[in-house]
Amino acid sequence: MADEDQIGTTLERRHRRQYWLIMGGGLLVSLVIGWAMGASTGPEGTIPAGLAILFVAALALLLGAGTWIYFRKVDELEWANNLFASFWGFNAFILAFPAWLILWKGRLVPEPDMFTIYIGAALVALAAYLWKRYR
Amino acid sequence: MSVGEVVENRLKVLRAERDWSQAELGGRLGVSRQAVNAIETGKYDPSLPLAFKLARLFGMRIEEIFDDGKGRADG
Repeated sequence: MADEDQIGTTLERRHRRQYWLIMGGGLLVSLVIGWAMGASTGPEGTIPAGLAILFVAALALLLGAGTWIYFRKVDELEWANNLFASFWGFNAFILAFPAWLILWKGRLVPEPDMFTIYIGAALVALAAYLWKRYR
Repeated sequence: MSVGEVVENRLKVLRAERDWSQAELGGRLGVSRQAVNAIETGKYDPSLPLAFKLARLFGMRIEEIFDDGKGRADG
């Protein structure tokens, strides 16, 4: 029976489609929140307090629900890849601030910037994930 | 098992005997094609539940599929 022979392929394809739907959905919602934040930022770079709370709530909800849905759908290899990436991202984060602070106290670099550290740690995690997945 | 130790497996051969693609095997196991590929190439060692699932699917014992090169502990 041809269908019986291809049952795994059909299931795998369905899983892959669900994976990319989740990823695409997450990206779309993130873009909408990012756009809304940009649109509501005033000329002095501030956001009304009520909107700021709303954005944080939306972000927490998106991250919480998105992570929950994501990890329910992915397989153990993806879990392992994410664990590996998180390990390196977290280590980069906890090393970067004290290292930068000490160098700043030694008057070697400008004052530590949390946004740069945050983006840097995220990039390290992303690089670790991509390396683990596509090596 | 420490980091860097290699567990070899016969997954590719067993899969080929059944004429299954990596996606076909992945679907039957509930994992991605990438996971099957990673196991076959030794880049990833499956969890115990997945190893049991594999063994059941092929009608074999786990140690008939995976080999850490150390033989039987009780032998």
